[in-house]
Amino acid sequence: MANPNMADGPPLKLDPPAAVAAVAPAAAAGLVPLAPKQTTELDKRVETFVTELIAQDAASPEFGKKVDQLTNLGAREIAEAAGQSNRFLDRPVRAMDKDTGIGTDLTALRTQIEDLDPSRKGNLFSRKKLLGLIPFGGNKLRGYFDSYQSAQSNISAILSRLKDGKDELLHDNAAIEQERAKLWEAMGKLEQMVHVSRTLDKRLEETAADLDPSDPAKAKAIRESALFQVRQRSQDLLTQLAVSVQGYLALDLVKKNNVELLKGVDRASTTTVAALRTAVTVSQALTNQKLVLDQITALNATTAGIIDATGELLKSNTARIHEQAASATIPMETLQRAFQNIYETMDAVDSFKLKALDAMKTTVTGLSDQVEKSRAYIARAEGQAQAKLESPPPFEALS
Amino acid sequence: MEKLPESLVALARLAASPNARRAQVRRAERIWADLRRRMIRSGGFAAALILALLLWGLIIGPIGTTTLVLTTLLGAIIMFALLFWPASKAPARLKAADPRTLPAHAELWLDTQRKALPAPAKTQLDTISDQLATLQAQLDAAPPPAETARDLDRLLKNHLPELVERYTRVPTTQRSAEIETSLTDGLNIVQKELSRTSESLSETDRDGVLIQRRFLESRYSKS
Repeated sequence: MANPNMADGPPLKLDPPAAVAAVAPAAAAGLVPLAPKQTTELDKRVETFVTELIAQDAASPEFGKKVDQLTNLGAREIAEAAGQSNRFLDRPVRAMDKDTGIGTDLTALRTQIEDLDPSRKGNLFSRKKLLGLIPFGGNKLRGYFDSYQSAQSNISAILSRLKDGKDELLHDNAAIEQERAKLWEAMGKLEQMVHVSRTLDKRLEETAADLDPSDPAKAKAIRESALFQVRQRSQDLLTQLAVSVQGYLALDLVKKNNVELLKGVDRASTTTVAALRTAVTVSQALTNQKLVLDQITALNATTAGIIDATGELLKSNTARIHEQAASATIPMETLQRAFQNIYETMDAVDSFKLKALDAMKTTVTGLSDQVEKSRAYIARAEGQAQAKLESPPPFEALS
Repeated sequence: MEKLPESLVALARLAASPNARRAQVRRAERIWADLRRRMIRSGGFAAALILALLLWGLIIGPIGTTTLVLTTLLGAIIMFALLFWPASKAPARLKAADPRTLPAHAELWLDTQRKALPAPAKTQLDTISDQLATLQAQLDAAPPPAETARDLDRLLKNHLPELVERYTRVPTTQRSAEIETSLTDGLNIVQKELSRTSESLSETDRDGVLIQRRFLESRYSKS
């Protein structure tokens, strides 16, 4: 094997996903595909509505009633999607705030590891000296490896807390998945209503043009009332759809961040356990004393396949360490390298978290702006809906 | 209306919707609970009377036969009265109901209105009272968000009773088909609104199950 280092996979690279850019209302439509069956059904309903509308006299109360119905077009779908926007905004904000305790645990792990780092212990091959002068007792090396015994319970406690933290992240992601599934459904419904409003727009425009020569009064009424309403509702629908799409992407960002963080935590645990195992081997080779790290071994048995892979790597390295034991410095270098791996992992996690936080902040700011805007629209739409409570919406999204 | 043969009645009861059956069960439970309360009250009075007579005999002095007979008679009358009086009172006005027990209250109130409503409305009433029972259980488990509570309040204290009362005020002879369909249409809307409320109340719980499944999948089914 070319690489003499323990637990060296490819270097850990954690990619913070890019911030979610603002979605323009005009670009929001068409992201959720509609089934052809749905579009035909909706088109049919639009056709019926338009036929019924032009059958009425432009001055009759029935005509007014039909137009009134249009003010509620998509009101329920908008309200539903808007109800979710609170939650999807909440999630990235919370993800930024709490830092899941994983950060604290990683810091604690780092402190523990630094305590054990052989490169911070000076020359371990020198003999212990009383008052730094008189040679006394065994060599420093033995004392150094003894310090693992006392550190192991701390380390295993931290590793187990990290495992809890990982579970929390996984749970978070499961919740995000669920939220995204619901958001997708709501977006599909909005998309249907957008389709309806666009078709209505087109059909009303055509009808008005057809009526111009024969019944200019009705053509005018259609343009000024029905078409006007439809266009306003189109704008509301697109605004809400844009916010929902942006929220959908933001949730994905949080999820991806979590996945990267999970990788980081996994790697930090693996490299730590690998370093401790290396220490066991090195201790055996250098002091001829068996270092017993029960708690770590026990932990190892319960940790999943990732660590097993490290175990394999270790086994193949053990033989070499023993071969190299003749010259004491090489096993020590291996151990130092193992510690270096932990530091690298933790640094990667730290820099990832900084970048991820940036992307998250940008996303949240953009999203809050959009949500704020859509709220204004919704408030207006609500006012209209309240005024026209007696007219139910003419179209409802198909489920 | 022609009277149905006994077997058909039994068949109809069998064919009754699960909603109707559950509504019947709840009605029977309410009656039984009322009866049990009355029996306990009346039995308690009898026990107290016997105890009082015994103590009188032991401490103060012997009771004459006349007193015994008179007391027994009077006691029996009071026991009887306690069984049947006061009559089960119709639920107090809905408007005054405690928001926490409003659905149960509304169910009781609807039960009293049942007789006055036409047949199709009665099946709707079964569904509605079933929904109300579910809602009551949901409210018992967790207080609803303020807005949901307000909406429910409005629906059950104002809108639903108004619909039913407005219908019952129309003289029987003038209850045209249009009036009846208006009533059933209205009840339909109430029904939809109730199921929407109930669903929104348990949304988090339903999602929780789905989320937990997703979590378990990602946690334990390693590829």
